[in-house]
Amino acid sequence: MEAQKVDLFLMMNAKFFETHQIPFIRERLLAMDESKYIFLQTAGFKDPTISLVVSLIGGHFGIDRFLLGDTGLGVAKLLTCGGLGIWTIIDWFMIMGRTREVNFERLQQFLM
Amino acid sequence: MTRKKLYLLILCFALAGCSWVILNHYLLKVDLHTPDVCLFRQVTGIPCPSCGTTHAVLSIMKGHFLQAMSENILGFPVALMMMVFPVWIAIDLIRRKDSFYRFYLMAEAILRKSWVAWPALGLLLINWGYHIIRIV
Repeated sequence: MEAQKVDLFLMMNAKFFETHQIPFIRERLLAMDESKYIFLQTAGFKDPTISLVVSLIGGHFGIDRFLLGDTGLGVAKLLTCGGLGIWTIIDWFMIMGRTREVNFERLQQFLM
Repeated sequence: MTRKKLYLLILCFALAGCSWVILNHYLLKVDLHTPDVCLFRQVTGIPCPSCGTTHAVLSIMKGHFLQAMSENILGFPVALMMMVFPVWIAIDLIRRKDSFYRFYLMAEAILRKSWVAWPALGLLLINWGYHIIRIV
């Protein structure tokens, strides 16, 4: 893929990934086929900030975990009063990293 | 999530859950108040959907199933999971299989389907509504 397109993609989507993943993503995108670019645009990455807001409001019910597709953990959180309240607080700090992780896993499906 | 991570997490949950139930059982035995750890109830004054689960699990252990149903019906799946999952994982670890991991992935996939998720959410809301009305 053209370097200009890759840089444009990274400029628009860098916030969805961990900083240390960016060089790897750039390298793989440059090697990627041009035809996959349109699919990449429609990948629908999750915003870590939105996840944090959801976690602050509905984290006690596991809604943040449901949002990221961690259904099993969401159910566990829901059934245990947010892990006795402790897991809820831990997730306030962990959820942004987990969102970036999920986004990277989703991106890897396109890069494969 | 990897198999190893999931098994470790579930075993930690089971250990924490059992410790929590034993602690509450002891506190109730000596007529002390059980700790209120529900953030939602402390902030809003309204019970959360899973409030009362500990008491329901304790009632199930004593064989008082009707009382458990009135406390919180979610106590039944929780008690079942607390009893079955650690044993299942232990068997899996001994036999070096991944049957629980495959079950977990399958259960997650089923729960994501809209014809399962929406009715489950509906039942949960009905149960929650019943508890709110009962307490208020």
